[in-house]
Amino acid sequence: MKKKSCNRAREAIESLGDTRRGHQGWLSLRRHVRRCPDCGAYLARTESVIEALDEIQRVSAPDELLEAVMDGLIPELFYESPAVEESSRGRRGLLVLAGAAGIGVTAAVALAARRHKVGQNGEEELTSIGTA
Amino acid sequence: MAPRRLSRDGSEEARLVERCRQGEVEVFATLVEMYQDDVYRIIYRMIGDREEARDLAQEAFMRAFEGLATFNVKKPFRPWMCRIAANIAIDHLRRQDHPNDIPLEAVFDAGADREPPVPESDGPEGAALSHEVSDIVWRELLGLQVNWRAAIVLHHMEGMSYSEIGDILGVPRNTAKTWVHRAKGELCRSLEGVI
Repeated sequence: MKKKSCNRAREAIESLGDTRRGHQGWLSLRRHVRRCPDCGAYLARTESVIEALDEIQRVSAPDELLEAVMDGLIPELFYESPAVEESSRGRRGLLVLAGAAGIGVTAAVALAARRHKVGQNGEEELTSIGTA
Repeated sequence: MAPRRLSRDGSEEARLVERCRQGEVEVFATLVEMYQDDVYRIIYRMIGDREEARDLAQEAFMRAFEGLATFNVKKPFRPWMCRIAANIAIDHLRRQDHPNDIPLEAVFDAGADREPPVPESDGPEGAALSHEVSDIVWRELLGLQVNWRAAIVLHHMEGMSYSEIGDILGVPRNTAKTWVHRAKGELCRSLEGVI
């Protein structure tokens, strides 16, 4: 069965790392653990855990994190860019279509004019043949 | 790259936040520089995986950027940023099917990127014991249930008060305190027979 002093010591040990113990409190804990091997082992384990946890603080962020964050942010902020590009691409497409249509119409008109001319020439030729 | 000094009163951070809000996006890089170690450390020690921690740290900063409009510049930036990081790590752990699975990489990498101070008088045996203790503590830490793990990481590694931890984890101050003590108790138990 644990003694009252052991319970007090355990409470003090569990609060290690939380608050600074007064000098007297620390001395009385030290006195107790010298007499009580169980509490002494518990104190040693707790101190080791706190030391090990302190070591964890040495980890640093990888070098590429900053770049990754900013790379992730910039396209988001200029989200309009792809849309603008898309719309200008759309406009370019329309221009190409209009151009193609224009060429098509011009070609059709030219072809029709040529046919008309050929037709006229043909008639003239027929006429000339008939006349001949 | 040398880390930027954090301003004591948070005024530098407040100025940077204001500039970001006004559209100076590139200024956010300075805030990332100032807090990337804090954010990455919290997440890595809760997750235990470098790659995931990096991705989640990135997510934390993206979320922070999106939330800058709602950030109260009269309050300190660090707790706000750490809260986002912790919540992202907690959400990630809760989403996992087996949150207590410990990636071995975490245990051994944790040992690889730190250099525990070994008292000279300890000699090789002391150094071996120190490494053994550290590895046991890391392994046990990563195996703790999510809330306890979060509580002890934030308290012992980030120096947060129980009230701050309670705010982040959405529990009363005393619950946060109980979780820290239980977590510490579990870690101590893992050393029984070793120390």
